[in-house]
Amino acid sequence: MEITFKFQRGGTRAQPEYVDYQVDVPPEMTVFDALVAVRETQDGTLAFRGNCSVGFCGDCTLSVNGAQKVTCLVTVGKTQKDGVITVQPIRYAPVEKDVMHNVRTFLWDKVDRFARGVVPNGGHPVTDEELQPVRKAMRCTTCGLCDEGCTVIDVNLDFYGPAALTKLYRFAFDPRDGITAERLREGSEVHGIWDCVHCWEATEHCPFGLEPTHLIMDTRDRAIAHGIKSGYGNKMLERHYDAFEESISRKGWLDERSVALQTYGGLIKGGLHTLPLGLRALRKGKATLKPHYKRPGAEQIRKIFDRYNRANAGLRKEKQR
Amino acid sequence: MYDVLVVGGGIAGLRAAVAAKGAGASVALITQSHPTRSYSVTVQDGINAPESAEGCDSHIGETLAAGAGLNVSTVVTTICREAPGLVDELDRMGVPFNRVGSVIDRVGISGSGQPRAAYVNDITGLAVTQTLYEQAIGAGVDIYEEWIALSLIIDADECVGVVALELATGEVQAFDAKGVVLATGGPRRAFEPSTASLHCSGSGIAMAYRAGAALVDMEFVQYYPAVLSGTRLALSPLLLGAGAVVEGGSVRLNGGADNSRLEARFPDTLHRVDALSGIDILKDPAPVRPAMSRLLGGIDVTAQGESSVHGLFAAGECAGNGFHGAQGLDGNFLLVSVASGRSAGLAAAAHIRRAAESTVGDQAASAVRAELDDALGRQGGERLAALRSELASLMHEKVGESRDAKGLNDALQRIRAMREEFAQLGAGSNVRDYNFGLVQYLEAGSLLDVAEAIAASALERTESRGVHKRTDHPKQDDKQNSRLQVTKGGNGAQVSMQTAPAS
Repeated sequence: MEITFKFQRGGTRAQPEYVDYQVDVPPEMTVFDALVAVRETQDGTLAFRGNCSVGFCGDCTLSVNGAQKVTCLVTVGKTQKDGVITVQPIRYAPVEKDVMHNVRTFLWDKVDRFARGVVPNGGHPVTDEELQPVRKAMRCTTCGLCDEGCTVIDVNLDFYGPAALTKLYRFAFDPRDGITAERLREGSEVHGIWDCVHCWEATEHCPFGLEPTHLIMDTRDRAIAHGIKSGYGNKMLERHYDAFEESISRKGWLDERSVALQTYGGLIKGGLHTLPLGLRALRKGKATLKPHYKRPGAEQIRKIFDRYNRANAGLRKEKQR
Repeated sequence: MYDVLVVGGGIAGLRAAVAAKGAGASVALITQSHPTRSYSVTVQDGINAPESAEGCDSHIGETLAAGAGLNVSTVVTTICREAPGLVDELDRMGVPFNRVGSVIDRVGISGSGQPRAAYVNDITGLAVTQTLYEQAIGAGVDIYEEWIALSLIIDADECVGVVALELATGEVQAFDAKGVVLATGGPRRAFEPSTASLHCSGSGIAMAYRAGAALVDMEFVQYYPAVLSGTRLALSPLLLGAGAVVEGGSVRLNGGADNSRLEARFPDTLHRVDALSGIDILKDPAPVRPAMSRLLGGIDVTAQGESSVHGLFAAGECAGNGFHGAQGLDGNFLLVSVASGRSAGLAAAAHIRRAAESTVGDQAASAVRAELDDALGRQGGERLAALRSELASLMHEKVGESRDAKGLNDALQRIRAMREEFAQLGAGSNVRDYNFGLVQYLEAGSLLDVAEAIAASALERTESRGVHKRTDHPKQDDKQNSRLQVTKGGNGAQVSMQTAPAS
C-alpha cells in the first residue's frame, strides 16, 4: 500500500515543519519497519530510535497520526488515514533532532535514580507469590508512554514520572532487598510518589497493561507502612498528616480545630499561631465553640484503621528494626 | 584510562561489567543502544541449570550429544556445573525467577525434556537484562549509551582500547583500557528471515577479525523453527514446553481449560502475537517459519574468554568458546551469555597490560576519523540498502539451513564482489549528528566480513554435522572432528582446521 509519511523535521510542535516520504509497503508491516525502510532507502539522516522491532526494547516510541505508540507494535494499515501517517515526537520530552526526544533526561536520569540494584537482606526463602509484583514491574519496557501521558510531567518535567516510579515499585515490593525503607524515603521526596495526582493517564497509556498509576498508589501504601509520610521531611506537614489520621480514626470525621492546632505544634504554639484566624472565623460564623463529637458509626471507621494496621504490622516491625 | 572496557550492553556485556567491577576494576561499557534496549531483552528462552548431580550429568550429556563432537568438553562441564550457582546468583541480584513454593521452578524445553530450565514467565531475557543493568548502576559502571565501537586499538600485538563514535554528535574518540571485553552479539542481520534486532550486525566479531583475532565454528548457523511469520518474533521455547505444538507451519496452543494459566504465564507473548499478527493464539493457530536465530561460533576464545589477541576478551554470542559445538540447545544460550560474561569480566579485570603507556589511541582515532570523513562523502542510501538486502537473501538461500559446494562458492564469489561495490559506497550524507546512513554503512561492512567468514567455513566443512547441513555431503565424517578457525588474510577469509580434535 502506498503510504506518505509526513515526518516532522524541525519547527515546533505548534508549527511543525514536515518532509514527505513515499513508500510502498504491505499494510500488515509495522510502522517502525516501514520507517526503517524509508531511512535505509531514502534518507539516512532521518533521526528516530528503535532496535528490537518486536515490542520488547521500548525504544521506538513516537507520535503517529496524533496517537503516541510503541511503533513496532502497530501496523501501517491500521495507523494510516487516507494513506498518510504523520510522525512527530512524543509530546512533553525535549526534542534533540527530528522526532527524536532526549531520552536521557526524559527517562533514564529518572529511572537510574531508582535503579540501584538489589542489596540482599539475607532474609527468608522467598515464595513465588511474593515475587509476583516484581515480575509484573519487570514487564516494563521503559517505552515512556506512561510519562508521555502523565499530566504532572505536562506541567513539571522534573516529576520523576510513572516509568521511574515503576522502577521504585519493583524494589519496594522485592522481599529480597535490604534497603527498601531508604528507597521509599528517596521516592517520597519532592517530585516523587506523592506528586502523582492519580489522574490514571499512565494506566490508560501503558501499552502492556502494567497500570503504572496503581503501582504508584501501592508504593505509597508501602511508604506509609514504613512510617514514611508525604511530608518531604517537613515536620509541620508530617504533624498535619498524623493529626488528620488521628482525627478520622478516633472521631470518624475531621476535627478541623484539633488538626490545625496539632499541625502548628500543639495547644499553646498552635493556639497562638491560629488564634487570629480562629477569631476571624468565629466572627464570620465559619467556626463554632461547640465541642467536636464523634460521628455515629465512628467505631466502624476505627475498624478500618485497625485492620490496615494489623495487615502492615510486619512492615512496621521491619521499620522499627 | 579504564581497567576494563566492555563493548555491548546485553546480558553478556552487563554480566562482564558487573563481574569486573566486583573484582575491583574501573569499568566502562560502550553500547549502541541503551542496555535495556539490547537484543537480549527479546529473549524468551529459559536458563538451563539443573540442581541435582544427575540432572547436571544429563545436561552435560545432551549438550555434548547436540554438539556432535565439536564441543569443547571442558567448557561444557565447567559451565554446566556452574549453572545452578549462576542462577542462584542472578536470583540474589534480583531476577524474579518463577518458583514452586520457595524453590526456583525448572521446566523441560530441550533435548529429552528434562526439567532443567529456570525462567521468568515469558520475559527471562528482559528480567535478566534489567536486573544486571540495575547491578551495573548500583556498582557504578560508566555507561556510554548510543556510542558505536568502530575498531580495536592494537599496540605491539596487544589490545589497549577501542575507537568509538558518539551517535548524537558524530564525534570519534579513543577509549584507553587495560582489557577489552567484546559482547556485541551475533550477525543476525546477515540473514533474512532472522530474529534480528536492528543493530545485530556482528560488529564485534568483525572488529576482532580485522584486528587479527581468530574466529571459530563460523559455519554453524542455527535457525529457530517457530518465528512468527512476517515478523522477527521467536515464539518462546517455554511456550512449546507448556503444550504448544508446531505443525504444518503454525503454532497451536491447546490450552483448553488452562487458558487462564497460560494467560498468566505468557502475557507478553499473547500481547505481541496479537499486536503483530492479529491472532489470539489461545484460539487460533499462528503461522510460523524457521528464521536464522543464532551464530554458534564467533571470536575464538578460551574458557575464560581470552582471544588470540592479548588483552582482548569476548563473551556471549560474539564469542566462540566451544560450548555449543555443532548445535545449540534451547535454554543453553542465556546460560552461556551469563557464564561467559562473568568469566570474561573476571579475566579482563585480572589481566595485566604489557604496555604501561600507550600513545597509539589518538593516532587510531585520527585514522578512523579520516576514514569516516571519506565515507560521509560517498553515496549510500538505496544502493547500500539493496546491497544489504541482497546479502541477507543470499546468505539465507545459499548459506542457510541447507548448503552445497556450488551454492557456497557462488555466495563467496558474490560476497567478494559485493565488497568491491561496498568500497564505492558510504553514508550518503555528511550530516554529523545521528547519521543513521553512516550506521547502516558501518554495519554493512561488519556484515560482509562476518558473512564471508561464515560462507568460507561452511565450504570447508565437507560433511553434515549439527546445524551445518550439506546436501552434497549428507553424512557426518569422523575425520572432520576438529573445529575450523578463520583468520583474515590479504585476500579474504583464510580457513584452517585446528590440529587437535575439539575435545
